[in-house]
Amino acid sequence: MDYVLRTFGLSKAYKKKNVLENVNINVRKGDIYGFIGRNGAGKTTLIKLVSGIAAPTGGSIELFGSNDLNMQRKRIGTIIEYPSVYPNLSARQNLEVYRRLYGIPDTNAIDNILDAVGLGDVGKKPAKAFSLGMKQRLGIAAALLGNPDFLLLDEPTNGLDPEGITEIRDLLIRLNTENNITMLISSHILGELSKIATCYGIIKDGQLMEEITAEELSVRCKRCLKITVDDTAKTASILENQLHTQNYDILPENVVRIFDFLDDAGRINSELVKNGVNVKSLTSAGADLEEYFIEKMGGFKK
Amino acid sequence: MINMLRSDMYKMFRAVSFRVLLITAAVICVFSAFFVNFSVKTTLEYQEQKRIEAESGETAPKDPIAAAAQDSFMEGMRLGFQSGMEASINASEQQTGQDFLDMEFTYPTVFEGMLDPLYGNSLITMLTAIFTSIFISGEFIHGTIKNSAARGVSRTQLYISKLLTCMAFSVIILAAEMLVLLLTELIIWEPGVFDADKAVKSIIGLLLGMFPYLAFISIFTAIAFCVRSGGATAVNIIFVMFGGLLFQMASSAASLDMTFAWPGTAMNLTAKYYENTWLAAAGVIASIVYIVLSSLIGITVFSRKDI
Repeated sequence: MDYVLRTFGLSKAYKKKNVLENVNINVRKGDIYGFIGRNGAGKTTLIKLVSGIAAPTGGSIELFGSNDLNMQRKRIGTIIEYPSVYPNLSARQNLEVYRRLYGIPDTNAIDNILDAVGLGDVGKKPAKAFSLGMKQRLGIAAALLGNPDFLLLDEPTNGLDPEGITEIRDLLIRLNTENNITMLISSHILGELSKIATCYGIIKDGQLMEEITAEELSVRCKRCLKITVDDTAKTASILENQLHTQNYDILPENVVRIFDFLDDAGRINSELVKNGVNVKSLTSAGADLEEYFIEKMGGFKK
Repeated sequence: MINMLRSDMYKMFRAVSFRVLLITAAVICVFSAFFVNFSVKTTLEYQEQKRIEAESGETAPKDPIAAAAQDSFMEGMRLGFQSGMEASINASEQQTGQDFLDMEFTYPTVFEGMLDPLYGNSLITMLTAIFTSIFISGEFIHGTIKNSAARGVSRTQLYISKLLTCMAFSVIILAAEMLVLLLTELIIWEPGVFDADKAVKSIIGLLLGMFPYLAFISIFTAIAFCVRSGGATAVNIIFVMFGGLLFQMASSAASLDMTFAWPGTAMNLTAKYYENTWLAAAGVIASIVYIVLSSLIGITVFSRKDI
């Protein structure tokens, strides 16, 4: 499997306080990796370490399968913390600065990118007069210059109105599907992220709690009946032969999840008991995305 | 590296500070040329007044027009200048025994006085300090340095590109000053006799004076990269204003005559007394040491600190 980014035991401490601890992250080629965590959880720090503007205190980073990070970082576009723009320059001039810096010979590249992010008609207006949403778009445009293979976007929809959020979301999906750009997007707006992410990393207090694909997540969030029994093999046989369902899975500790009969738990219970299975517990389970993430991130702060 | 320089130069030419500081330098150059003119005129008037007093044996009556204009700014300035000049002439006469009335004062001519105001020019140093601080700290304040650093550009190259851009600014502002000065002088003074030998010497002096000037810029750059905020401007201005004094105090405390090693002094000495080989060489060597040392410090700090 091709990985665009992998970290191995990545750690960062500021003044002896660990803000990132032993993080092993895996971003596959083509992924839109949703990086989720509370404010201060360590999302921006990880992006800073990967992009090279901060140095790790431990661990290592691998980009595009290589340890030559400076060379590989030329293939990355970033927005870190907030869109960084030259306030007295227009959108076009801002991008011209980066076009020259990256040595891009094609002067039309700027027009194409400005059109793509919806800033094609802002003219000579200086960036300091832009709204936050326009600055975000300009930041994304700067990140896109040079056709990067991997985008690191730190809260890219911050400050955008609902229409702007939709536009940026569509743009990111288009870039991912049409240009095959891999992305790591940090955010705490779970609803937005869940609409585009193909996998997730959940970070809490500097530690990566879980990495999960969108498919796995939808299964975990699916409503089900969770039954703890003494004999899972016998339970499986009853489910298939007598209740005629294969929509179940078996978890460790003699737990069986059944995704059918959600409104008829009593029937399952009586069938199992009738066939000599000892049912220790039977509960309804499942959550929506937001509940799942909040649970993983440590619940609501009191 | 070339790409980085192209990018930094593009930013420099579009920076508001670039235009504001160029205009400021031009205005001050025009003012300084007129001030030289004004001071010669005032000196000649004062000499004439003293001559009349000496011939008649009594104090000459005050010019009625001058008296009427006494409250005006220029007259106030003229009187202030005259009293200052009187004190300095008295002191000078006591020292040399030379009579003020025998001294010959003439208006400078363009070719003779063209480059004089540029020697050891602290104004230009101050303006360059301001530009360097704003240009570099702005990248940190607006966060734009992150965009460059995150694309695998080496910190050393980033630093050197900024240093070279600020050095380019210093050369541009110096050239602009020379041009404005020349144009102003052509308007207010006689051209005079063009002495090719003197012109060549002046240019050599000016070129040698560039070394300490660039040493200053190197120090400003290092300070801006270490401070990384708007405070860099204040630190650099304080450095220009009081750095020389602190340096003198330190060298006195160490009982060493290191005056020439301060870039401000070296700038003046190297440019004016470049025919003294030892002095010129010492100024140039000290400047190179400053450039190398301050760049090493700046690069080390910039490379090691997170952005």
